[in-house]
Amino acid sequence: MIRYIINRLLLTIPVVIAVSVLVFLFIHLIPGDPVEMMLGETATIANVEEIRHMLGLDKPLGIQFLDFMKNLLKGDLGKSIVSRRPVMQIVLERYPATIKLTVASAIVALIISIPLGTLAAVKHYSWIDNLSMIFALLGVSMPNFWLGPLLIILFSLTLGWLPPSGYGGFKYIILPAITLGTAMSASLTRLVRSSMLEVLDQEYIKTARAKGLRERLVIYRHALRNALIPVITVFGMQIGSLLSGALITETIFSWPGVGRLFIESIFRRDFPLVQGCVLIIALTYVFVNFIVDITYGFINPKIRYE
Amino acid sequence: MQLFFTKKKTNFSDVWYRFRRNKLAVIGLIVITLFILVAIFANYLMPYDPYKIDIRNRLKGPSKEHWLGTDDLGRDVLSRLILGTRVSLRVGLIVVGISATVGTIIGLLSGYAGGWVDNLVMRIVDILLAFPGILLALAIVAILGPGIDHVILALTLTGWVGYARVVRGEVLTIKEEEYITAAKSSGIKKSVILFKYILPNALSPIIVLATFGIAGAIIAESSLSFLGLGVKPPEPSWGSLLNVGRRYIMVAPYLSIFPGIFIMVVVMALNFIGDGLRDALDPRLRNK
Repeated sequence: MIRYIINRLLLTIPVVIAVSVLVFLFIHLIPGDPVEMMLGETATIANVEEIRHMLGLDKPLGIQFLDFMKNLLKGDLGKSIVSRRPVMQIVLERYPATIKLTVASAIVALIISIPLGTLAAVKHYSWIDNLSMIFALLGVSMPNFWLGPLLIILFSLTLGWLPPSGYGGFKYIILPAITLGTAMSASLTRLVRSSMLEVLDQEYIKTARAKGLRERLVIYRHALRNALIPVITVFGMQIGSLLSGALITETIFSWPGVGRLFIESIFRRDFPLVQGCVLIIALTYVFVNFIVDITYGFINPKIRYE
Repeated sequence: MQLFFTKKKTNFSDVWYRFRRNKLAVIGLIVITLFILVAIFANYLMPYDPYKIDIRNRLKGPSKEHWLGTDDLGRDVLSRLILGTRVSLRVGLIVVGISATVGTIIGLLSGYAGGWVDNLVMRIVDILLAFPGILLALAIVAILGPGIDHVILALTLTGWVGYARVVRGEVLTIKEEEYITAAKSSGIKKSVILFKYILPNALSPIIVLATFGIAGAIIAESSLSFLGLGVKPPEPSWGSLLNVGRRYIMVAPYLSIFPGIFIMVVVMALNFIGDGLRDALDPRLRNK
């Protein structure tokens, strides 16, 4: 197992380096002068020179890269052009909100998909089965930037039950979490159902039933446990996609996370902050995938030797 | 000669026969055809000039004159939705056209060459896949600025990866088959082997992937436009219409309804077609 973890870690390192290089190059790929672009038409020559110096853009490219990597290792991502505060500090302030939203959405996805998928499989061809399939179909086809506004119209505007946006107590996270979690719960429902159907057809389930075990025990103790293995795999793979969904969901609900910060910084042309957001989101993604892979190693020993 | 080297080709009429039996796929095909017709004949279908501003009639709900109401500048929403169909479908088709072609060629070469070329390409693929979906596209648009061409470029730069990966996998299996060895030993040129013998046999997954890919590209374009980083105003796309809807959600919720229905219906139809094609092209995959 240790060997598997080390191997997997070694595979992650080049990816992390590549992500850092791409983020470094970001500011140099901007056509024209990035500093003039950031400051817009109001820029004075002194201003431009000052920012150029602040970003280290007046040094040769190689030196800039070394400085960038050195600072990166120290956790220093430079300063925001707009607020002049350290990028790392701003991003970290926003980070917990994004994690909260992502975790809440994952919970929504699991709470809906596991019972619904199991029920659909156990009562194959019943109305609940049809309902679950319609839900799965709508859920995966419905973009979150449409579902979000629809939920706001229904629960905030019409019923007045939940706040349309903002950050605070439990009721503020409900709509964003449903918006972000629905697509995932739809595809997981489909998967739980098909996986469960397959398992229920296996010999050991027949054996368990033949032994005279109660149906409930057969389903929860024997079938569901095995049916969930492929579900965990896909769940892990999709946690990453929750992160990209968070970019949009946060914008819809004015949720103060890294995603919204990222979009705001793009509009403000605050490129150091854009770099910081890209880096932190990509690194989180890489980290999540790493953890997911390690978890598989525990669940399914076969993977370790592949 | 040809007969011996080409694996039994999937017959078009066989595929069509199997596809036709899938009701949802046929419905999907009809829906997409309708949308394509709307896109083509947009100019004749739009009841008003989609760019004509009429401030006195701004944010008016659905009425006899304006079936879907008017937007923040008093423009007719139905007309903009119809024109938006053209924009959204066009982006979807162009993005998939380019990414599928580029990805297929890269995948073919990478899988066939093997060795360090293959290694290098696959590392690049891994790195691009290390970024969550839309993040890279957003970063590219942040560099280049909004606009439809930049959206297409951003989505293509990230979109080819999936095709390259799948095609490479196919090539690795196909190139071990006897008919390829036979072709090689008869001294047929590499390029002919690649494009005439290997490519046709790798085509099924590419077609299926591309169908789902159009849906993905339409959603991606809509997401960018929704965030205000896609098409430039006043040009309408389904996503940019939803962006206007979001800003006026408290006073004009109707603006958020219809563009979303269009996106969902098209995405669903494409997914049905994709499922149908997958089953029809490769019956072994049915029910998987």
